[in-house]
Amino acid sequence: MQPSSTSVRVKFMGDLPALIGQRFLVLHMPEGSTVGDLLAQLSSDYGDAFTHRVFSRPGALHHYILIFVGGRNAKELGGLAALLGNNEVEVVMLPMFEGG
Amino acid sequence: MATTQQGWLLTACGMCYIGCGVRVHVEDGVVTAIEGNPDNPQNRGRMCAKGKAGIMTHYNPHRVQHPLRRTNPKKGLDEDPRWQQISWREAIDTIIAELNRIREDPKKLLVQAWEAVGDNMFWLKAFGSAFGTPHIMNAASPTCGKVVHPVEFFSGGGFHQQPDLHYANYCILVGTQFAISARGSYNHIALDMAEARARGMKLVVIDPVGGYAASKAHEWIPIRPGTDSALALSMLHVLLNETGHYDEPFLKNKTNAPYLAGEDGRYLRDPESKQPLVFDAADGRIKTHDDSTLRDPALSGSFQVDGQNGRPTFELLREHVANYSPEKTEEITTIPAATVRRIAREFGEAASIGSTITIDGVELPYRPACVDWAKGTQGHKHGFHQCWPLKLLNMVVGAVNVPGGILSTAAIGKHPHQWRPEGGTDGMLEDGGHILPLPHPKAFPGRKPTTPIRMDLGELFPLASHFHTLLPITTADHRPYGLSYDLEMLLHTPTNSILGSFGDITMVEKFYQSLRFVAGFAIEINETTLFDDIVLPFPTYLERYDFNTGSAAHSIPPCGEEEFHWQVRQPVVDPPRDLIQPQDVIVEIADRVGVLGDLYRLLNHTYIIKEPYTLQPDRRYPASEIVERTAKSWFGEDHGLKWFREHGVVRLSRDVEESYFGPYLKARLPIYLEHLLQRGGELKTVLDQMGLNWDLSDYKPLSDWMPCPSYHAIRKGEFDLIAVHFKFPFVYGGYGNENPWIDELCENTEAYSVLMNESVAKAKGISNGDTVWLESPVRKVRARVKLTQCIHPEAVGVGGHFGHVSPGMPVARGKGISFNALLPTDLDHIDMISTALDHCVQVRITPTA
Ligand code: SF4
Repeated sequence: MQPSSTSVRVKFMGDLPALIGQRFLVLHMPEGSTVGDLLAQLSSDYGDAFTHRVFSRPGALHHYILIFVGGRNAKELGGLAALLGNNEVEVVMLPMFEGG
Repeated sequence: MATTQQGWLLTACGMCYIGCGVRVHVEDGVVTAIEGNPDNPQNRGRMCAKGKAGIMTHYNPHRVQHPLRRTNPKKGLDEDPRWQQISWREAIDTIIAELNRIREDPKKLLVQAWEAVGDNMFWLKAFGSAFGTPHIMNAASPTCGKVVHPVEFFSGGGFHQQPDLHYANYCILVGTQFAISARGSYNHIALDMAEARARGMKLVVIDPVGGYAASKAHEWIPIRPGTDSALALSMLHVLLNETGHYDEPFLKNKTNAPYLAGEDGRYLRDPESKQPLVFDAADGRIKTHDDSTLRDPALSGSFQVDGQNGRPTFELLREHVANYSPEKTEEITTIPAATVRRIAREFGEAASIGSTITIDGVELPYRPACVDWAKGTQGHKHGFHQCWPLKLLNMVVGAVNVPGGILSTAAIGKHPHQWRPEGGTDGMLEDGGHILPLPHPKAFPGRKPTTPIRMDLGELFPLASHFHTLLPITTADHRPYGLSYDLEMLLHTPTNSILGSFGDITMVEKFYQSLRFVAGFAIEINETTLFDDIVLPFPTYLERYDFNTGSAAHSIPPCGEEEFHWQVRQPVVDPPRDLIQPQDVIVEIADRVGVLGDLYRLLNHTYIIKEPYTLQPDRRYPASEIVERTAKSWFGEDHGLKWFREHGVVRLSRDVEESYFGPYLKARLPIYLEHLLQRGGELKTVLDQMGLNWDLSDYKPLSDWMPCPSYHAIRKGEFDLIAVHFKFPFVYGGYGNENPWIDELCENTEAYSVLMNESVAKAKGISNGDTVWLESPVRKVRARVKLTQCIHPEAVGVGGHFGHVSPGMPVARGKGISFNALLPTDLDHIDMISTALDHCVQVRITPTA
């Protein structure tokens, strides 16, 4: 039996629209998918160019990656284990701040 | 509204990026005086000359007071834009139309966001991210900050470094005028520096230019430009191989000095956990660095691990620096070998290795000696490696974040919320601490390089944090990098990036001409504004609302046993009738391009605005309300704008851990940069795929002195001098010499002249006050010469940020020269680690006919 799937609207901000080629995507993910599953799907679709920008090492996000699920910071919801539910997901690659 | 207020009003200075507390006297809506706020623990009632001159900037008769549109389509530094006053509606409509044109390809937008006086920087960055562009400039300078922040965040834990003037007995400044001419919390540290000198701290200044800092030093040691790393490596050699001044327990337990490196320079790792290995001399076994049984990690020796030979990185460092004997480096730096030995010995002895001090009942290591460096050492072709061995000098004597040593600014805090540096990869310090949850710049562990999409090639600089110095190069010809689009639009702050953020002015002018549409905020029509299609008037700091009032609160506060402080900025007088707060302008633009909710989400994150104060996507808030909400979110419902107007500043005491967190840090610091080998290898693979043949010799774990192009150029004889830049306290980091009081200071101190060594000048037939030709490989300008004995004979000193040409700056126009304009701008002059632009340029000086 196929697991039921849900469509997830993903919005990209910062550096990522330039990589994805658009600001929005709709992905079909199995019910119960997590942020980690979503990023794995994007890694598979967009390859190293996505993976290297988003992950500092397997399972660890670069410190400039910010993810919101339903408007809440994914860090507060369990990080990569956060459930997507029916929420819009925003994946942001922020510029590093600087001085001088 | 502000107009109803009279008398002394509390707010924050905005004449530079620091943000001192001030009280402003207002009579009938007119500012009549500005003084330091004695309750502000940062500036303690003091102000610098720039701040005192603020009233003249505020009442600048040439201020932009209305939106403007250019009617001359031709752009250039000598083109009259033929401004036409327009309505806000027309200005915003025009900007929206241009943004909508690139809406489906947002990377074509470049946002120049640096305006550190207030909120504008964080707001424009958030807008740029919400719009979807990677091209967000959030630094002003082509060199300053390029190395110190990425280094500091992984080797200290904070934003910047600061000698502990409360306890240091010996302080060496290399290529910086720390606490005398420059640096965050200037008015605080300037007093601390005076007091430290008065109690007997020895101050040694090593710099090509014997400027303000040298005038206060016990000893000024002139150094040939671009040779700082040779000096540092030589001092390391003396400490490690001659005098034996190094902190063994600290190196063993708090750094990667015992990690074993194989023949290829990479760590030997545990096959299962992949953690780096060390040799435990206590039981003669190889263990991971985090093994709970580890007692005595070895700093020397040679050990077999699974058929591979491994040696502690500390031993590799000692052997490496042995290549830099003072006799050898004397030829490079011109500093006599005996002087290097004496300074190194004095430094090592002053560090009092092994001693402790008790503060508030807590016993801490006491290392009252430190080395500080900043802009001067960063601005070189190999800027990263010019600086890193200077940091190592502090590291080997254990003088990092302990009393008397080099301290990391703003790294840790417990109120109003918590932040602190954290360990990560390989047990090393990975995440610095910062009060705002913004991604901090850090050169460890870096990113995997990939084929670039960014016009500034950020993907090919895996350890750098920002990359704007590449833009004039890549926009001139982006085909070698596989980029097939153009940057088309620039949105900018009032910062004068065309003079301040790049090099070779001819290239920069072409870069700005290549942008199809430019819109920006302006207080005055500076050189950058000359390229604008639409100009948006910007309030002065006396008319603004800002939650962030400058770096002294969030990034470069006074270190050590000092209070945390926070203030907000609010208007003391009303802006001219046709002026709008910049936050309100950004909200309007964001709303009309459909990203207001995203902007708010990023602002809620940036400023840590919590319920019930968070910004809601379906509402539009005026700037004043957003500042009020943020203040209440941080400090409580009673701490709104009214509270700040009455009290000025929140003060919170900090405990010993917040003051000296070194012993509390649960991570190791690097003395050996193994990850540079990995990133260099990965970068080579990507460059090979792209058909690019870059020199990657900077990607090495132990620094070498590598000469700048100017070093070779003067040996070839085409040029005979090297121009370097230095800072004046009265123009540093702020609005410049268009202010008539600042101009007067510059005139009376001969700041508009270039410095030349007296005997060198005389040999060329040049006298004090002569006008000469100063010629670099890319620019020839007239300059007035000031002769002095206080400059290295091979150097020419160019101070400040002058050379204005804009008719909108009639006071400053035609005075002094622009140092940046002299700088060749190509990959041969860009540091391949940090993207810093080489700031020592070969020149020749000839008398004018
Ligand atoms: S240091 Fe900067 S903020 Fe402080 S008084 Fe001077 S100009 Fe103003």
